[in-house]
Amino acid sequence: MSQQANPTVQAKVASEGKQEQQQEEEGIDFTLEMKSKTVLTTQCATAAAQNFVDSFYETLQRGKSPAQYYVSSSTKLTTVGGLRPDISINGRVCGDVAEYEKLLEAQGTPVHYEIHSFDAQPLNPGYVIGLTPAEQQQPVSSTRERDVAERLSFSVQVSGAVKLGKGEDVAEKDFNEAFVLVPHWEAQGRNASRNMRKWLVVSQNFRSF
Amino acid sequence: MAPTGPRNSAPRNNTRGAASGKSATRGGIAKRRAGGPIRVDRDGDLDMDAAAANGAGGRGKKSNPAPAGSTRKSTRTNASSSRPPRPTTKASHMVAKVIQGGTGSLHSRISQGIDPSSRHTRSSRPINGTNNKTLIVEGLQHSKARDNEGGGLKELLIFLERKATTAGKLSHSVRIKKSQVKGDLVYITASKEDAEHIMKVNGFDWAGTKVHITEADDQAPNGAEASSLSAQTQDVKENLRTMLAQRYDPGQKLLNLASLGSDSLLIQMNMFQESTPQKLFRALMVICDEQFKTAQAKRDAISSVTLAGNNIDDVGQVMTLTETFPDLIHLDLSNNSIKELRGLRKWQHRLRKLETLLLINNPIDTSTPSYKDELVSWFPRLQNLSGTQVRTAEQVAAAELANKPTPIPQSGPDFRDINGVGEQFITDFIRGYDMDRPSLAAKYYDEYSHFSLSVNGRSSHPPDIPLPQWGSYIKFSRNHVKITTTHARQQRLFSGTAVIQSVWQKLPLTRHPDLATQFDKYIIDCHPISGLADLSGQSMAGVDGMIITFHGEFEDQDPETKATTRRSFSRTIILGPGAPGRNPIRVASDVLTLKAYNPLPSVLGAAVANPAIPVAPQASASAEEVQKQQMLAELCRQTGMNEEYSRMCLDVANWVFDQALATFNEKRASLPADAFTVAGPV
Repeated sequence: MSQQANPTVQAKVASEGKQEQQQEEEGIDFTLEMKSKTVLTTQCATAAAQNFVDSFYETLQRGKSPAQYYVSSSTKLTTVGGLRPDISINGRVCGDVAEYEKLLEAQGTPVHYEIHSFDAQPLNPGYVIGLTPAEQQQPVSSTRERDVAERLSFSVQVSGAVKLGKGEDVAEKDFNEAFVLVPHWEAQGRNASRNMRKWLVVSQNFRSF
Repeated sequence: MAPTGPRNSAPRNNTRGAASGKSATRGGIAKRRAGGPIRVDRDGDLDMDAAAANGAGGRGKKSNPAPAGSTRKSTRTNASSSRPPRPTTKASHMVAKVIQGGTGSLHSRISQGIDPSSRHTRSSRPINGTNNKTLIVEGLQHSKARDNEGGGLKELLIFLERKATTAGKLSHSVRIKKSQVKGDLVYITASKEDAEHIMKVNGFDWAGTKVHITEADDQAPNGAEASSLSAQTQDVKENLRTMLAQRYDPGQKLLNLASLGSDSLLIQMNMFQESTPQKLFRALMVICDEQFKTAQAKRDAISSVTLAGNNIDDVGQVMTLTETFPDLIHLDLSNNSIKELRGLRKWQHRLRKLETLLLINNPIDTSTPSYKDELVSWFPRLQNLSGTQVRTAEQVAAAELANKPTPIPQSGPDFRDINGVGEQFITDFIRGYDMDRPSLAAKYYDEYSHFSLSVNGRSSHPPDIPLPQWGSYIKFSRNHVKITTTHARQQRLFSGTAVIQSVWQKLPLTRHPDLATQFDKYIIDCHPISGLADLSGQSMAGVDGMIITFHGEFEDQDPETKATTRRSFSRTIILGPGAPGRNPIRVASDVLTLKAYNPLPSVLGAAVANPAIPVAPQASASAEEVQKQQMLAELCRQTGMNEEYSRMCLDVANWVFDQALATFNEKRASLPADAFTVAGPV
């Protein structure tokens, strides 16, 4: 992950808006631009986190496979980026999503997740893992939210309760779950399927109490 | 069924019978709202399965609401109407229907003209219940609508409802609940309130005549044959009940419905001339159902049913069995004519508790020999299929246990540190957060670091501890469940050293348990992560870091009241390489969740105390876990370190035993005293 890159190119990649493009011409450094993006990236991160939390737990509740939520479902992230999801469930490291699914299966149904709180923060507004070097150098074109979102990774922490069983048999446990999500490049293309998740989980840490 | 069952004494049954006999005479006035046109099958018989869900307000094409109303009290035991009839009523109707058999068909009733009163009529029961009123409407006979299909009744009722609604200037629609044509008169029943409004329509012009409405006296129109019919109904019902009683074996909890076709009593009653076997069976089931007040009583009385020798080729013919006895355990369908799986398919998702199913001497045995596997998969508890054991009780129990949801088991800390960075950070962080937040922020947080906190006010907590106040935190809480506007979410994300310092200063002072001596009060997981922003601008692809999620507790002191409160927290911190010229480690993201105090589960010994974690059978994983446990035990033995430190050591060494041992020897001097068990190294 230590590719050297031309600082000018980098500035271009990260640049947002005309004002910044102007600054870039004046040779402004990368970090300042990163900061100016914070407002937009925060919006993106919270909106994307909301979407993720809303649908991820719904998927688990329905007993469906959560595989589509993980970086393992993206060819670019896995082959070009060399990523695989790091899933830690109650201290147990799952080698892949399938192993996580086995844990979920063993947990059984019915299961209900109650979300008490969640919070999200932008992490890296210039995330490029999974892009080819040529793609990395294509500048992000404008200040529109969608384009900022294109290369954003973010962190999420969810706090809630997981209810197992139904009726009098229900067993309730509080849980905390932390995620890091990264852009799903295949979902961002012009002709991308609308059903694809726009962000994918690269890191997951679950603990029940 | 037990009319003679131990719980059902004969006298009680008699009184019940009497009661039902009485109610059997109800129904002279049709239930208009029964809904939808009456479905009639090819033979002119009512289609018993016609759902009662057809739109309201329709009246059969055939002008005869009265029998329709009573017939529509369907045989379904699960109430499909919002106002299910009382069981006795239902049974009586059912029995009445059975008796009427072919002659009771709608077709024949229609052929008798529109006067239905000779069928089911009320005897002495007042129609005007506490809330209803019956009115007599004259005029239908002389109206132009008389020649309409249906005799104009439908048009009349719609007219009355509409005019009454407008005359009363009502916001709701007036509803006529029942109607009955009796000679030249139409009897209608509506709620008292609606009846008053309908009275206002008195004298209105309708279809070339004047509608004349008067209040009926309490007595409904009466049919002379009514009582005799009810007596007959009651008689038949009593006979069927007797038959069921004779066929009930309370010792074995067995209801023997085998070879009904040759039942002497049924033949004597001429049942098979009067009715179809399906209808008879439904009537029997309704009578059965009526004997039990609760589902439990039913389960206690009857666990087995035999339907052997009934020439059944599709269980649809005895469908009501599964409605009346959904919890049946043993069922004998031997000596029937079931030819293929399709004949059983209707019960695929029923009889979930079935343990025995006998299909001996059915054509399916030879025609579809593979049916057994399929049947086993249909009924999760099936053990005995036609005398062959297909599952053991243990297998059933195991499968049910496996199906019962169980929480994902706890394992020890998943602390995949890199060169001790995480360990050093967490130690430094907890101490700094308690003692000197400004310095902590200055050291690890820079202008691109984010901090936010969320209050989870709904977490569980021990009942003996009062819920904490959140006053000092709530104004900073960024809980997205509560804080939903973009602006507020933006405002409550704190970025940059100075901002974070100032927020931290406003938060109450805290005291966390000592990490070294009270490690059991924490759960700390961490693992490497890639693709973090590189503040040096060197690496476009980003830099590697580490994500730490830790859970624990602290005590804080309210700045004003000085009251101390214990709280629980979960915190996820993402570490990356620091910017040039700064501390080598920086915090990129710090997400804090605060909760009411609730002690953490002990996870340190979890994996050891419960090695047989009931995770889905997965040989490789458990083998790996066993191996880890062995390593852990061996490292504890050789080094004298306690389990927690041994595990940390092995984690660092990636579970390579020799390397862990080497790490231990290297760091031995720097280890705290509590890293060792009391006994010390061997």
